[in-house]
Amino acid sequence: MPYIIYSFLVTLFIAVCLTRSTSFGEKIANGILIYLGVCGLFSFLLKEYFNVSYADFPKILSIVVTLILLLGFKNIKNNLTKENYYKDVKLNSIGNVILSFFLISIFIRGFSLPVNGWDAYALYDTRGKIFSEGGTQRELAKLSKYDQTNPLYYFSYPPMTSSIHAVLYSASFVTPMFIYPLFYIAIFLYIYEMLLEMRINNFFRYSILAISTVNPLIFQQITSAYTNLPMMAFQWGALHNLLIYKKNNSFYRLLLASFLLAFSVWTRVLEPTYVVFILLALYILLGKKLSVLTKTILILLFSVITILPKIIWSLYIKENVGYIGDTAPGINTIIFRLADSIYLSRMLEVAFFVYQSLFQIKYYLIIFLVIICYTLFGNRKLRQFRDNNSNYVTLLILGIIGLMVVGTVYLSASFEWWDQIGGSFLRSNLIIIPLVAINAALLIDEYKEK
Amino acid sequence: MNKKTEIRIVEILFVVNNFIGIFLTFRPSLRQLLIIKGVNVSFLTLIITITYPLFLLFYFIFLRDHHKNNKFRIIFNTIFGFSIFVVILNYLLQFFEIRNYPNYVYTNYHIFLPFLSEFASYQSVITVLSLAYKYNNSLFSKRPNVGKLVSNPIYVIGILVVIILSQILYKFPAILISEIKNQIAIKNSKLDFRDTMVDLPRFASQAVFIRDNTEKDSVIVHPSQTWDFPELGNQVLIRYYLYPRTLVSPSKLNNFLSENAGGKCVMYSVLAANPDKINVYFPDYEVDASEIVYLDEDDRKHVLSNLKFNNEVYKNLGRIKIGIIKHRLCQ
Repeated sequence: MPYIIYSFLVTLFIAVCLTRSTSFGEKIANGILIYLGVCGLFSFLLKEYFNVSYADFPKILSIVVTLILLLGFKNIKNNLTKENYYKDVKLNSIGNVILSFFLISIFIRGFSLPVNGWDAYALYDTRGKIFSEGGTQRELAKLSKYDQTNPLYYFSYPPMTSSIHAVLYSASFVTPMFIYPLFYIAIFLYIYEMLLEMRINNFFRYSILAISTVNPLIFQQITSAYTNLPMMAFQWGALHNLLIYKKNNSFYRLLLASFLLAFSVWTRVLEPTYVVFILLALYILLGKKLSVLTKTILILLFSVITILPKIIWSLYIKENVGYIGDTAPGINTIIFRLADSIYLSRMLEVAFFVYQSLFQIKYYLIIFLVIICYTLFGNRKLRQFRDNNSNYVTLLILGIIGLMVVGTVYLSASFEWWDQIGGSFLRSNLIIIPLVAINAALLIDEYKEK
Repeated sequence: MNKKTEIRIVEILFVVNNFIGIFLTFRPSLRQLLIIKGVNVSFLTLIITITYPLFLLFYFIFLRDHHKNNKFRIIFNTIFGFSIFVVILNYLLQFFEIRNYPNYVYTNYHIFLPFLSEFASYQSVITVLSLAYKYNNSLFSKRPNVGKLVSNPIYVIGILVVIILSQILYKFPAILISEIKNQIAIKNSKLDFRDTMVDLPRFASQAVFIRDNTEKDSVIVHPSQTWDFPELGNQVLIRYYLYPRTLVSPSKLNNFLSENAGGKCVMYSVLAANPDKINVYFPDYEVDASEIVYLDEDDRKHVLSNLKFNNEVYKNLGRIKIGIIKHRLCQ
C-alpha cells in the first residue's frame, strides 16, 4: 500500500509541476488518468510476459516515477516558483472550495463501497481477484471448459480495470471502488477547466457543468465497477489534450492524447468509438502548418500508439485461445454484413431501437440539433466554418452517432439479441452527454466572441 | 408577430402540451376510458418533447410582453396554477410511494409515476418562470423581439439547459434514497465486506454458503442457466465466489466425467430451489450422497448423511434456501 500511495502522489506532483502554462485541475486530471492507465496496461503486460507479480508492480512504478522526478528536477524547480503556484491554484473563490469538497467526499465515499454491478462480479472483479491470487489471463481459458453458456467469457474485454483491481488487492486494499470516483473526478476537472476559460456567465457555466457531470446516468456510474466511465474518462482526456494541441502545437499534448486514447482502447476494445477520435486527430493534424513529412510521421505515430493495445490484445487472444467469435470481426465481415442488412424494414427497426435507447437523453440530442441549426443557418459568424472548437466537437458527436447507427445495423445482422441491449447501448455512449453540453458552451462562447 | 397570434400560440401549446402530459400520466386508465387503442406512447412522448420547449419559449415571450388586460391575467393564472398543482401532486404521490411499496401509486390511482415526475419537472420550470415574473425580475423588463431571441443561441440553448437541469433535480431525491438504502444494506449485511453484494444479497449469501462448505480443489455441478436459476446457473457469476473450484454445467457433466475417467475428485452438486416455484429444484437427477448440508429459509443449518438424494428426499427437506450435496464417488 505505501508504494501505491507514494507512486500516485509523485505522479500527480510530476503532472502538476512538469508543465507550466496549464491549469491546476487539468494537470491533476492528466496525472490521475496516466497513473490508472499505466497500472491497468503495464501491470498486465509485466505479469503475462515477464512474470512480475501484481504485488511487485507498485514497487517498480515507484522506482520509475522517482527516476522521472530526478531527471526532470531542473524543470520542476523552475516551475515551482511561488508566482506560478498561486497562478495555478485558484482556491480563492467559494465555488472552487465547494466543488473541491464535493469531489473529495465522493472519492472518500469510494472506500466504503463494496464492488457492485453484474458485469463487475462476473468479469472485471473476478479477473482482478484471480490475478491477485497469482493467476494469469491465459489460465482463464480453461475455466470455461465445462461452461454451457459463456465460452471464453473472460476474453471478451482486455483487463484494464481488472489489472487495477489486482494491483490494489495485492496491496491489501479492501475495495477497489475508489478508482471509479477518480475517473469521474478527472472528467469533472477537465470539463470545469474548459468552462472556466470561456466567456460565458456564471449561471450558464455552472448549469453546463451540472448537466454534463451530475446527470444521474453518469453520476451513478461511480457506484458500479463497470468500464464505461473509465473509457469515457480516457476518451475525454484525449479530446481535451487534442484541443490544447490544436491551440498550442505542443508535441507533448499530442503524445498524451494518443496514450490516453490507447488506454481507452485497452478498456473497451469492442466499441469502435476510438476511430472517430483518430479521425479527429487526423483532421486537426492535416490542418496544421507543418511539412508533409512531419505530418505523416505525427499521424502515423498517433494512430500506431492508439491502436497498439488492440493489436496486443488480438495477438494475445490468437496466441492463447484462437478465435473468439463475431464480436471482434474483420473488416471484410463487417462490410458484407452491413451490405446484407440494408433493407427498409430493418432500417426502421434500427432507427426505432436507437430512438428508444437514446430517449433518456432526448433533450441533449435536441440541443445538438439546435447547435447544428445554428452552425448551418444561424448568424453569419457562427455559420462560417472557422477553426472553432465547437465545430470540431460537433463533428466528433456526428461521428459517434453515425458509428452508433452503423454498429447497430451490424449487430442486428449478426445477433438475434441485438434489440435487448438498450441499456448497455446507452451506457457505452454516455460520452455524448458531456460532449453535447460542452458543445453548447463552446457555441455560446464563440457567439459572444464576435 | 402580433400580440393576438402570440396569445393564440401560447393557448394552443398549453392545451396540446398538457393534454399529452395528462394522457401519458394516466395512460392505462385513460385508454380504457376513451377506448383509444394503438395510440403510440413513444410517438406522443416525442411530440411533447418538442412542444414543451416551444411552449416554454412562447410563454417567456408572452410574459415579457406583459399585457395589462383581463385575458392575460386569466391565461397567466391558469398556467401558473396548473403547474403548481402538478408539482405538488407529484411530491405527494412520491411520498405515498416511498411510505408504502414500489408501484403503490400505479396500483391504486393508475398514475404512471415515472412520467408524472418528468411532467412535474416540466411544470416546475413554468412555476419558477411565473414566480420570477410575479416578483418583477429584470428578465421581463425588455420588450421582446422574437427574431432576436431565436437568433441568439443563449436563449434557445438556455431554455433546453434549464429543462435538463429541472429533470436532473427531480431525479436526485430517488438517487439519494437508493444511496441511503444501499448504505443501510451494507451496514446490515451479515457477510464480510468483501463478499457483500448490494444488488444481489440473497445470491451472495447462497454463494458464500457453498464456498464455506466445499474444498478449494473440489468439483461443483451447478444448475443450468434458466429463468429459474438466473444467478446460480450463471457459471461466471458463481465463480466470483467459488474460484478455484472446478465448475461444471449439467450439460457438460458427461464431458467432464469422460475426460477425467478413473481420476479421483471430490464432487458436489448445488442444492437449490426456485423460491417462487417449490417444485422446481436442482439437482433434477439422483445422487448417491455421502452428505447433504443445507440452510432452510430461516438460515438454520441442517446436515444429513449417507442417503440417495431424489424427489422423495427433496420433499422432506422443507423450504431450502441453499445447500450442497457431496457425491459419494466422483460421478
